[in-house]
Amino acid sequence: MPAPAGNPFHEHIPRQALALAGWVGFWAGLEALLRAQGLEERRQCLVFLAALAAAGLAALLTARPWLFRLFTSVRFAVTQGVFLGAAVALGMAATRAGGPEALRAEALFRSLWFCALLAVLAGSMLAVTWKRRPYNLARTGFLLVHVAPSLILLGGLCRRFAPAAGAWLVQAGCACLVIGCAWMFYLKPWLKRRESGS
Amino acid sequence: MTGDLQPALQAAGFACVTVAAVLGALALRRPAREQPQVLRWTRAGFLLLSGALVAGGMASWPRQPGQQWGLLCWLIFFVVLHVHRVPGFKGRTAVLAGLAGWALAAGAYLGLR
Repeated sequence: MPAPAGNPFHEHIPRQALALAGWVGFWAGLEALLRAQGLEERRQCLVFLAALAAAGLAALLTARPWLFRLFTSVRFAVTQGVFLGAAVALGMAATRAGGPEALRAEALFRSLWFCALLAVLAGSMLAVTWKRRPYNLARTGFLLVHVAPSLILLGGLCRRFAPAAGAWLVQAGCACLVIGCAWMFYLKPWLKRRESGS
Repeated sequence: MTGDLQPALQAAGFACVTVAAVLGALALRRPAREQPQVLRWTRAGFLLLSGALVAGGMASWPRQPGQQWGLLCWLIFFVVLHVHRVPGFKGRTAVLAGLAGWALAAGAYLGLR
């Protein structure tokens, strides 16, 4: 599905926001449907993984270049960050004000639509990681930072089946994030300065 | 230990982004001089906020309001740092995004209290 040439989708934040809203709506609807069917949380998670894999495969087969441009766009990362921030703020506000149970932080972080947003973020980061190959010592920080969200999402999903392994994956993702940030912001410039000095 | 470390890292991170916001406000008048400093302080704050997430025990999703605020701040400055990399948004727009992000984080903190 190619985007119009003059106004490409991967650079158009409002249209990306609409698409993300549709994505969230789809998963919220599916979750409500699964809950109405009486499926327990683990089975919901399995359905989520299967549907996500099918959607990912279909997208890869039908719109690979377009999707790759979108997922590696910095503007799309900004849109996703705004969406995730809005979701967390909504959860905080609902918890604080005694809002609906489904919107409170505890339920929100476990909901399929929040996991679906994280899945898009993880997919984006992995696509960017792929785009920036090959990796050398200076780029290791970038690699660590961009692999971290996938580990955190994987850990979050895995925790429903194997709590210890899931918690370990989340911690590993967070550690990658901190080490990667320190590497990107401080070690990489130092390595560059040292290279240019010699 | 982590119970003390997390608020300390959050406070240090927020202090850094506050410095970035002050420099950002100055940068609106003297763009060339202050902008690299704004990015440097925002990065330092983001690193400390990431450390706070780890120290807060991200092994479970954040339950305490303080942890949730830390996650919100982290997401806000994730957006701000990426705005600095968008070609059309570099400069004044990125600085304004940093100021808006700081105001949101401060507002959320006041809301929690």
